Parts: sequence; C-alpha cells; structure tokens
Amino acid sequence: MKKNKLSLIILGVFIVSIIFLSLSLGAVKVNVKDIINIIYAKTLGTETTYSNLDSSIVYIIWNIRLPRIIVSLFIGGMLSIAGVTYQGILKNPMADPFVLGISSGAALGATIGIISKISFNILGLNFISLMAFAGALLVIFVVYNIARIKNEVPVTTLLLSGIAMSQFLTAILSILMMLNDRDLNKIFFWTMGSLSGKGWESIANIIPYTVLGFIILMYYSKDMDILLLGDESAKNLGVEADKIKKIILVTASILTAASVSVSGIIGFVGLIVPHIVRIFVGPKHSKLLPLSFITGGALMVVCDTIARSIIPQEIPVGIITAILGAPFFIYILKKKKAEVF
Amino acid sequence: MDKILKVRNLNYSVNKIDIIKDINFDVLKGEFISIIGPNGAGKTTLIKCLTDNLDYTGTVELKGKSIKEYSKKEKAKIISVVPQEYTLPFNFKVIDVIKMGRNPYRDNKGKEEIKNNKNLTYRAMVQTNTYNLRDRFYNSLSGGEKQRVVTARALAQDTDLIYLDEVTSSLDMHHELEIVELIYRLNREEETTVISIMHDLNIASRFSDKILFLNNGKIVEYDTPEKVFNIKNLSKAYNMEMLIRENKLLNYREIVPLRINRNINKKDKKIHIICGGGTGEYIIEKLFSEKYDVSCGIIHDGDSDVRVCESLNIECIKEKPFSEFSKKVIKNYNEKIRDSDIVLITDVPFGKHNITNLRLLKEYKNKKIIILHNNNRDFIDGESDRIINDLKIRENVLYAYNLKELFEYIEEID
Repeated sequence: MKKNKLSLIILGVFIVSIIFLSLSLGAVKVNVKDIINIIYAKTLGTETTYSNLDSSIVYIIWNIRLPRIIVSLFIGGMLSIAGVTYQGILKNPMADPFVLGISSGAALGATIGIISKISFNILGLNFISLMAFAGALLVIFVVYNIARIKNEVPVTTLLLSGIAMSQFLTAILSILMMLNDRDLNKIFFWTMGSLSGKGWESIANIIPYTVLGFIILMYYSKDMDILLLGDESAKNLGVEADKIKKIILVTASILTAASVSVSGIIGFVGLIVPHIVRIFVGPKHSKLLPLSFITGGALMVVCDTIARSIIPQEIPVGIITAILGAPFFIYILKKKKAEVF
Repeated sequence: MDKILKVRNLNYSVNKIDIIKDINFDVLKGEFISIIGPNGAGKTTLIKCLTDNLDYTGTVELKGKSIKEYSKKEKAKIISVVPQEYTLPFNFKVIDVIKMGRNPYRDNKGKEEIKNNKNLTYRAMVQTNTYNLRDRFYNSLSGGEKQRVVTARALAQDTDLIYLDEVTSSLDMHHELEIVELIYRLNREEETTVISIMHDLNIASRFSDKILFLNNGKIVEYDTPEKVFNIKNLSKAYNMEMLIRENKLLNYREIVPLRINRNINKKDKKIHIICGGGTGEYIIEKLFSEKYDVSCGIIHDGDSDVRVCESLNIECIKEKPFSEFSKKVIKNYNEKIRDSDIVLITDVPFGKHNITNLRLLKEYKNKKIIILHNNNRDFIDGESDRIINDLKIRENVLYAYNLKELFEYIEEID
C-alpha cells in the first residue's frame, strides 16, 4: 500500500512538471514564475497580479498553450483507455482504437467534410469533426454487424472484418485525395493528427465523453478482468458477458470517435500505453484504466510539445507519437515481456 | 433425497444437425456423476446446455426452478464450472485469478461478507495446494499447476453443484488423482454435487455413484458403474476391444483397453488350453484377439486364468477350489479335447489335482499338441515330467521354447 501511494505521488509530480515544461516551451519561452502568476490570477486572483507582463504572453499561456495541453491530456487519456478496452475485450494485444477500422472511417468522414466545403457548427463541433465522428461510429456499427453471428461476436471475425473494412475505406480515401489535390495538405494533416489551435471550446466538447466514458469503463473494470478468462468462464462466474461486452465496446468506440473528431488520427498511443502500464501494474483494469489515462495524457503532452516547438513549422503529432513511442515500446517489450505475455 | 437437477427432453442442434438428442435424467443432491463417452459424443456440449450457455430446447431445472429464471449471478452462486486449463491473454497473478471466483458475491459489501470472501479464497487455495503459488504469474505455471488454480477458482465460488470438463487430461497421474480425490472429498464431506466429464474410465468407475454414458448425443445408459460398464456397451461405443474385470485391490470395476477393433475373420481352428495360475492370461487373450476358437481347462475356480476367460466370455472348464476333478468336469474336458484341433499346454506347474489334465491327454495318441517349455513344473514326484517327456517324442507334438515359437507353431499347424 505504501509503495502504491509513493508511486502515485511521484507520478503526480511528474505530470505537473511535464505540464509546466510544456507551458514554458515553444516559439516564445515563458518562465515558470510568470506561468504560475498567470494561472493563479486567472483562476483565483485578480487581473492586477500579472499587470507587469506583456498581454501577448498572457494570451499565449492562457488562451493557446494551456487549453491545448489540457486537450492533449484528454485525447491521450481517451485513446489509451479505449486501447485498454479493445485489448481486453478482443483478448488481443495487437488491438488498438483503430484496429476495427474506426480510424479509416473517421478519416474518410473528415475528408468528405473537407472537400464538400460545407461549414456549420453544432454544439461547437464543425462539420469536418461531425463527419469524422459519424464516420467512426458508422464503421464500428457495420464491422460489428458483419462479425456478429446471432448473439456472439467472435474475436477473429471482428478483427478480420475490421481490417478488411479499414483497407477498403483507405482505398476510397486515397482516390478522394488524388482527385482533390488542392486540399491534399489539409487532409494529410488530418490523417496524421494535430492539436494545433485547440482552445477552451474543444475541451468543452470532449469533457462529457471523457468523463462519462471513464466512469462507465471503471464501473465495469472487474467484469473486464473476468472477461479476459474467456466469455464462457466469465458467464459461469456470473458476468453478463454479451451485454457488458456490447456496452464497453460502444463506450470505447465513442471515446475514440470523440477524440478523432477533435484531433484527427493519432496512432500508436492507444496501442503502446496500455502495454507499458500493464508492465508496471499488471492487467487488473481497476488500476490499468486510470493509470493508462494519466500516462497516455502525459505522453501526448510531451509529444505535442515536441511537435510544436522542435522546428519552426508544426509537425503532425501522430508522427511524433510513432517516432518516440515505437522504439521506447520495443525497448520495454524486450526487457520485460516475460512478465506480461 | 432432494433433486438438484432435473433434465427433460433436452435437445440441441446446429444447422439442423442434432448434437444432443432427447436427454432426460435427474441428479440427486450430493451425488458424484461421471459423464463418459467417445470423442464427439456431445459431452462438453451437454455441460454447456446444463449451464445455460447454449440455446437448447427442453427444460433444465435447477433446485426445482428453470435455470433460465436465474440471473447470471444467482446461477453462479449455485453452479461452478472447472474448465480445462488454458492460457490467458494477459498475465494475472494466481491470487487474482482465484479471487475472481468470488465475483458472484461482489455486490455484498458487508464486513461479514468481506471476511467470508477472504476465508473462502484462502480455503480454496489450501484445498488445491495453490497457496504457495499465489504471488506467481498464472501463465508461467505448468499445466498441472494451472489446472489446480482454475479448480481453486471454482471452489472459491462455494457452490452446491460443480461441473468438471475433463480436468485431468493435462495432468500426470499424481496430479490427476490429487484433483479427483479433492473433488471426491468435497463431494463426500460437504455434499457438493459433482458432475464430471471423465476421460479416464477407471477413474470414473472408481469414484462415481452413477455413470452417464453418452454416445452420438444420446444417453446409452445412466446407472451405477457396475451396470454401465459392460463389454457390450463400451466396446461398441469406443469401437475397440477391452477387458472388464473386478479390481479387488481398490474394489471397483476396472476397464483394460486392449486394441482397436480389427476386421479379421473368425478362424475355425479350435484350440484348447491347459493352463492355470495365470500362465494362460497372455496366451488366452492373444489367441482370442486373433479370433481363434479358444477354450480352457480344467482349472480351479478363483484362478486368475478363470477370471480372464470370464471377462472375455471364453468357455472354461472349472472345478471348485482345492477339490478333486469331478466326473462331470472330466466328461466336459474329454469332449473338448476330442473336439479341438490343437491342445496347448502352457508352462503351468502340475500338482496333485491338475495332473489329471495330463493323465487324460496322454490317451489321445493322434492329438496335435504344443507344449511350452518349463523346467520346474513338476510338483508331483516326477509324474508330470515323465508324461511331458513321453509326449515330446511323439511326431504330432511340438515343443516351444518361448512364446514366439509357440505362436509360430499355432499358425503353422493346419
């Protein structure tokens, strides 16, 4: 118990330092004291506390960097717990939020949104995001029903139909990209993921999904443990396997769709974060879910900070997550695989 | 006695092919039932139906109420299932796997219940000898250890009825017996009803109150081991030759698998064997399996050769133990000898009573006889050695120095 508390404190300190580091880094460097002043004044104090600071710095910290960091935390967290869920439900360590074709569905939806040039907002989401959201959910619905045999959804058919659907949609996406080379850059950025320009309204958009999704998954965390024993064993241990699998599959898919609709497709986080956390805390979901959320969030903040500050031009964050994540993951896998698999 | 399980008109089919056909049976509280039958008989499917994990037709009543009326959690408080051990996709600690057995009771958050959870998990670990494995990773255990952990998980469920699905097939004979004895103790001491698919017929025969014998999805017989285990039932279902005998040592009906049924024609060579004291067992069985027309005698009852003859349904002329051969027996013997094409003398020792066999045989001058070599068979002051030596020099008598020669001679003689 003591060891657990200590690691939690270390993790907390680590996250806070990452956030401050990320706030201070970028095209304009801001020192930590000023950052604390700004946040303190904006949340509790009066505006006079930072009257000696340049108003553009206040704007950068409060209106640009802080919301972007919070969005990164949420997106990283959502993708990671969705990854935990897919790996658990599909009993397959290769599963991630995108393996069922969700990414391709979202990308195709977004691309149609971009080239159709329709623009309106519902609940703060623009048309492109809405199309991405709809594409993701539509695909998971179709894939699920292709794989379904009566009441059961065999894992192998689910994965295979997901992969087939994914290839099919990617092909259509490529045709659309070829035919619309004016929007190529925009589509490309979208398919690689970016958190550029995300403000407070994006946070408001994803908070309900994040909170609700997290609560639902945590509620079923014990059942998810037992489902790892296999459906039949789970049923014999009193778990309503069919019903619960459906609920958490839908929950994870909505989490994925919501994050994709805000940030585009950011790969790899949902795959590696659950594995990394599992190495340290084991496969019990009651620990795995919250710690994956925090770790995924932190990883995303780090990657996004690098994406926006390493060269003058912004790099799509999906590239950074893959470049950093893959070697780190391989290193961990080599060192500790015996305990996990 | 209370009925814990009542099954009526149970049917299950896939794509209109019947897998389980019209199953009816009752199980009383505290019984130990073994389900046996060849591969593909529908044993596992039957258990899946009985635990309401498949869409069957018909009724399964658990404690007087249809099993479908129970919620999953309520059901899991009454029924537990021990599957064959398997590998998990992610590596849990042993203690966590066993604790999952307490899942049906998870909603009870009272102090008493939490204590109960702990005690029952602990008890399950002690019973299955897994306590010292509790901090190890499940996937790194051996097959036998995994099986014990999976069994512990079911025991932690603390149910009235426990199903086992060929749980011993991955175990060595030590651990096999360990698990079965554990289940048996649970059954006798705590009246837990046990329904187990058994791979090993002898284990089934030794521990069960009743055997449910399944073949082609139907019940062939549902009764005590003594009634179910007979040559007719088993050799047909398993399509092989076997021997069934009373195991006096452990007091149960033992099945000795012999060989797969071969399509060889019945031979019309009639062979009479003079044996006793177990010297005939191997020869009798071998000749029987080659489909010769075999008979034996005269032997005293209680001899192990007599038991082999009885379990193979071979005609055997026998006399009451320790007694002089009666006229009636001798008459039978003479008839048999006259009738037979070959008479075989095993390496049986001869004494006061069974020397009669040789004395009578001496008179059949033209009989084809094969004698198996034995230097120390005379326990009647040299009489048997004299007769054997007289026989040996006859033209129609062959003397075999070992079993290989013996069987070669049998084949050669027309």
